[in-house]
Amino acid sequence: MTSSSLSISKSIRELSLRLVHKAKASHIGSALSIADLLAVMISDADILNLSNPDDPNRDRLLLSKGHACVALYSALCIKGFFDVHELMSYGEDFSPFMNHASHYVPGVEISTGALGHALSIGCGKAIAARSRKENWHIYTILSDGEMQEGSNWEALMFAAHHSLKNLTIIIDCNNLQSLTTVEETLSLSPLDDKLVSFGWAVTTVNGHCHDSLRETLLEAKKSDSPHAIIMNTIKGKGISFMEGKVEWHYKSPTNADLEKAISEIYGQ
Amino acid sequence: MRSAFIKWLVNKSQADKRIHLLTGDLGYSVVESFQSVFPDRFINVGVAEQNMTGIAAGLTSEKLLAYTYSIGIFPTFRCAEQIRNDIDYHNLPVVTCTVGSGVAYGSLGYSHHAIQDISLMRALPNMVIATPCDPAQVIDILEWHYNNPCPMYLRLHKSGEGSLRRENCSLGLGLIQQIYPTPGDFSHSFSRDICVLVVGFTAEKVSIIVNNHAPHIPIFSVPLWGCSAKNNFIDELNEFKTIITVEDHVLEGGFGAYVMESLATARLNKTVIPITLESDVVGKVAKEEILLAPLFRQLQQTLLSLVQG
Repeated sequence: MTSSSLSISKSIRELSLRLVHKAKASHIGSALSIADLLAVMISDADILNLSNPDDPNRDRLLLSKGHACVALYSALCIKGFFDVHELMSYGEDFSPFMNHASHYVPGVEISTGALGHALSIGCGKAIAARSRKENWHIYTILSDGEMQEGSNWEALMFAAHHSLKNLTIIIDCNNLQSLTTVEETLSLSPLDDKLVSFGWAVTTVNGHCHDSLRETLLEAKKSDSPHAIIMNTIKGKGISFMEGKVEWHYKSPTNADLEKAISEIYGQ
Repeated sequence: MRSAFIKWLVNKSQADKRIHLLTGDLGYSVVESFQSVFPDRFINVGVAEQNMTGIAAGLTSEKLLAYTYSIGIFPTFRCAEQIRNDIDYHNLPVVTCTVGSGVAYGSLGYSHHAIQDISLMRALPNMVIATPCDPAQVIDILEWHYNNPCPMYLRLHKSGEGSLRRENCSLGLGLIQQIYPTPGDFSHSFSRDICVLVVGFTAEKVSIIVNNHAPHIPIFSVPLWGCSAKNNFIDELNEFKTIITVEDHVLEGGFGAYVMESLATARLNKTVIPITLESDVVGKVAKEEILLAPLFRQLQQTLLSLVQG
């Protein structure tokens, strides 16, 4: 399983890089920090039951940090929901593969881009599943900077109050936001204590360790309360010259950058 | 109007288990009748309108039906982005229901005056604006929406509204409903040059004023309208040269402005006289009838000048 997810994570990284390079788009750093998470999720149906985007019993995966959409599009392409040729229309005029997550793409549940939206929608979906006594699970991937949005804290209170145990959030703590570090911008610390005090089960995990991710995600799915995974990551993970650099929230790789990045992914 | 809303919702929910009512901690003495019968489908989200709106989007994205309920400004302006991105963009059939249109909560101050809400909601491309003139029309609108699911902004007044008799009562998006003359009224010969279009509860008072000062001018209510209805709406107005619009909302972005936009877009040369709340209503705190008095005076003067014209 792990070797499969490792291979998938490399493909997600490569595709994401190729997409932002071709489209001269931003946010590659944010996509790279969730590549391992998505690889682990899509490689194990016990974690994410998503074989068919139209299956009413599928698990729902919501990408609240919609700017990292290239990683999600790449993962869904690897799942076979559309082919690479379609995916490569990313960023072209009038393509459904817009530069923030788009619900016009098969497998993308909701469009996002403005931060602080998907968790509330996830709460609504969780209520819907429960009211119909259906067993699918809802995952919402948020960014750490996004936790500064007040709407998320409304939803956190709500989910705990209503014991939405079919809801898991994964907070991608890459510690960099738009201008500088999260700590310097508006500190979330102590995030784990805050979430616990809001009534959530909380697990902290290394977001680049596939075994730990897998174990944590499976545990979260079985949790008897809403579960928050604080996922410590490195923005730009896997590409030495992008790691931990705020400029890769914006820059798109040059031809030379792309070549070097892809050779790093495959250890050449 | 709010009683009509909740009665319809309770009735409909007996047979349809998809219906959920969400409130942002408002609706005392209104929502209890739903809550007591359907506790599992009543959600008081607390004082958290952004979350309420996102939850409603989530419920409807899973083929359930969601009605959000609060006082005018709170479930609209406070969560405008959730309405825009989560409901309207995804074309989800959430009904955003507000009470206290215009200055219904006049004494509670500007924070509670819903006088720019239409301007916000009608800019959204999929949103249907529902402006009932009386409790019976509230029910007709809810039935229409039930059969035509779409994002809808249902703008209710409060309570105590009278009932208006309507002729030609087919209700549809962009269709107008005649509320004066009432059926069988042959006492006047009615104008086909001038008409009054009214949205919302002021229709009753408007009828009285028109009857007193220009009884030959017909009045129409416009219950369902919005971005997508501009063309059908124009067809309905074809014969009139002068259109007076009345609304408990400011001019900017309101219903009168919608009529002017619709006519201009269709290159139709008609005179529109918008009767609206005046901009100096902002910050004034008084009973509703006091705050609405200038609007009705303006209507009266307009009618007199047209009659004497």
